[in-house]
Formats: sequence, structure tokens, C-alpha cells
Amino acid sequence: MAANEKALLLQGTLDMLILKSLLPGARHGYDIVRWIEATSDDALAIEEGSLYPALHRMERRGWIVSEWGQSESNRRAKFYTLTRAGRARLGREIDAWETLVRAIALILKAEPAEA
Amino acid sequence: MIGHAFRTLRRYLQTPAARTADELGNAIEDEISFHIGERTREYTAKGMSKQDAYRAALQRFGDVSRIAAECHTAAVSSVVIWHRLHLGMTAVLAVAVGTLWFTSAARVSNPLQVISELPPGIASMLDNDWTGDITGQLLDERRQPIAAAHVLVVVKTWPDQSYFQRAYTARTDEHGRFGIANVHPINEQYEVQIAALAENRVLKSAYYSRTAGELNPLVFELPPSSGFALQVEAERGAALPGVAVLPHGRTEASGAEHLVYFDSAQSLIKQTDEDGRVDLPYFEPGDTASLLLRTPEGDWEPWEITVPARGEVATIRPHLNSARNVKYSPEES
Repeated sequence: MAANEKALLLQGTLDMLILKSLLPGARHGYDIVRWIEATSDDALAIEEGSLYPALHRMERRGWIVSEWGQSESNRRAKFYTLTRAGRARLGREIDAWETLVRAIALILKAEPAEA
Repeated sequence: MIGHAFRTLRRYLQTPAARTADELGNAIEDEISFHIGERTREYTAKGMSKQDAYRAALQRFGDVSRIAAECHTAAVSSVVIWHRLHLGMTAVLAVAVGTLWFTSAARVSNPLQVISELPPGIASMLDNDWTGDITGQLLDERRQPIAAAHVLVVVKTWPDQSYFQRAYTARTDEHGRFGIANVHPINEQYEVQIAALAENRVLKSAYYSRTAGELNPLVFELPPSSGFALQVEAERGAALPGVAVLPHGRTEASGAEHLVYFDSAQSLIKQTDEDGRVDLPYFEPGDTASLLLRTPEGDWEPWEITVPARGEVATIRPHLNSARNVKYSPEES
């Protein structure tokens, strides 16, 4: 899928995707972007300029913690890890997202006469 | 709301003090630099030149300065509030401690200020050099020292038109010497009453009035006494044990008086035994012994006894004779 065809994220879903990406373990920012893009078959485009402010905001809220370490390319990188509060937050975000998706699906499946 | 504030506070407290804004900014720049570097490597691996890859990575990332500023704001926005609160409270605490220190330092550096807050008499006592000592020696008729004798001292002062009377006691050492330190002022007038009592020695006292400055060592010569036994009886002549007896004074046949101040004489109090008797070794026949007696159920009452001849017993019957100061002599008893 070409870059200009990638879907933009709905506002508010970036946090949920970041938290989800950290569920298996610690990642640095670049790895988070690549995981989201690869897992979505390149369907989602992460605005990298939005990623890092989001990471710092979530760290401030206690959902994630960071630690400097060595990357796969043997460079110094900042790794983020999910906290217990972050896991709880992810659960709530997923519940809200699924509720939203079901509601939108119901609307889209509805016949015009039912409206 | 409260939970969020608590978490923010905890994070603030966990933030190293050395983590300054510059350090935080450098960390954000390092993080962004790593990201752009990784993206450049990715593009280079896909065949782009390093220069093009770097330019493309930069373009994809966006405005680095703006994003770094957003990261900084996101990281410290709430912490800044706590930091300012912290600084404010530290400043208030510093001012409070400084004020307290300044106040206490001023009080310590000016003891007269502290003294002035005390009652006038006490303040004057502390203000004056209250370092005068009373020393002396007790000797027998052969000028030999009398050891283990009682020395009772009362010091009177009149600071700031007040009156203070303090009592002190001492025992003589093997050389018959005694010393009581810091008992009278140096810079103001005082008076001293001192009484000396030893076993089988006559009671003697002296009074030093309108005295100032240091007091010269006091020497008392105590001749031997015969003493006498005092019998205290109840209504029908029954012995009255447990009566407290205090030798309060001795008047010689010549009229010379020797006094023991009640304030200083607690160590001299004796109790009548089961026969109602007590030995009073500080008197000579012909002396008038001034005594204070207190029965188990009564208060202190003064009595005067003409000291009987050696070996005779003087008797007091407190319940029979209600009048005070009745002289009992051996002939009467």
C-alpha cells in the first residue's frame, strides 16, 4: 500500500496502539512505529511527530516507564515499558474502541428505512 | 483527580534533582536523533543515498524543534507545578527557619533580655554575680578539728526590693572544714545566718548582717556539752513515742543566743523513741533550749526548756498543758 493511501489514525487511538505495541515487552519509539505499521500491513501511518509527545505524556501519566539501553543496531536508545497502570488503561481503551466499532458497524449495516 | 495528583507528585519526587531542563532537552534530542538515524538506515538499505535517506527521514519525521518542544512540555508540564510549589515551600521554610534562628540568636546574645522576662527578684539574682562561697572550720576547745558536724546556712538577699531567703547545709570533713559554693551574691548586699552543731558539742550560731563582697572563712569553736534527755509524755504520764523534736535555739545563761533556722534544720529532726525519749546533745545545764515539737497528729509547736543538770531528764506533757512556752525544769517534772 502506498504511503499516501495509508489511513490516518482516529484521534485518541494513538495511545491505545502504543500501549498495545508495548504489551509483549519494551520497545523504543522507532520500533513502535515499525511494529504498528507492519502489524497493520502498512495500512496505518503513524505521524512520527505525534509519537514522541504521546510517549512523554503517557510516561508522565504513569502508563509507561522509560530506560536507556542498547538498540539492535548497537546504538543508544530509549526503551519504553508498560506499567500496571498502562495495562489497565489499555484494557479500558480496547473496551471503548470495541464499543465504538460495534456502534459504527450497526449504523453502517442499517437499512436507510430503519434510520 | 487526587490519584493523578499523587502520581504526579510521586513522579516529581522520583525525578532526580540533577535532571534539569537542559538535561531533559538533551535526552529528547538524543531520542529523536536515534529515530531519524534508524529511519535513515532503513532508507539507505532500500538503495537511497545516505544524504537522500537522511533528508527523507527528516521530512517524514517533521519539524524536529517543534516536536522536541512538545515532548518537553508533555514531560514536565505537571511536574513544573510541583517544582514551583516545592520552591515556594522551600522558600517559606527557609524564611521561617531564618527568622527562628535570628530570634533565638538575638535572645542568646542578649541574656539581659531573657533575664528581664523573669520576676524582678529572680532576674536580679541571675543578673548579679551570685558566686560567693561560704567556707570555714569547726574546732574543739583544744583547737582540734571537729569532723562530721552539721553546718546550717541561711542566706538573705534583697534584690530589687524583693526578699529572698535560701537555706544550705554542709558537713565538715576530717579537717573540720566545710564549704558551700555559689550561695551569695558578690555585687549586692546580703546577710548570712550560720549554725554549727556537733555531737556532744554546744550549739553555736552567728549572724553576719549587711555584708557585701566575699565572706571571710568562718571559724567556730564548739566546747563540749553535757546534753540532756527529753521525755515527752501523754496525759497520764504515758510515754509519747514518734514526736518530732527539732533543736531550734540555745540561750546561754549569759543571754547569748544561738539560733537554728527551721528552713535549714530538717537534718536535725529527731523522733522520740518508744519510751518517749530523745537525746539532745547540743546544750549545757543552765541553757534555755528552744525546741520545736510535733506530735504525730499535730503541728509544730515551740517549747522552751531550762536544761537540767547532767544525767537528769526534762519532761514535757503537751496534752496536759495547753499553754505554749511553758518552762519545764527537773524540779517541776
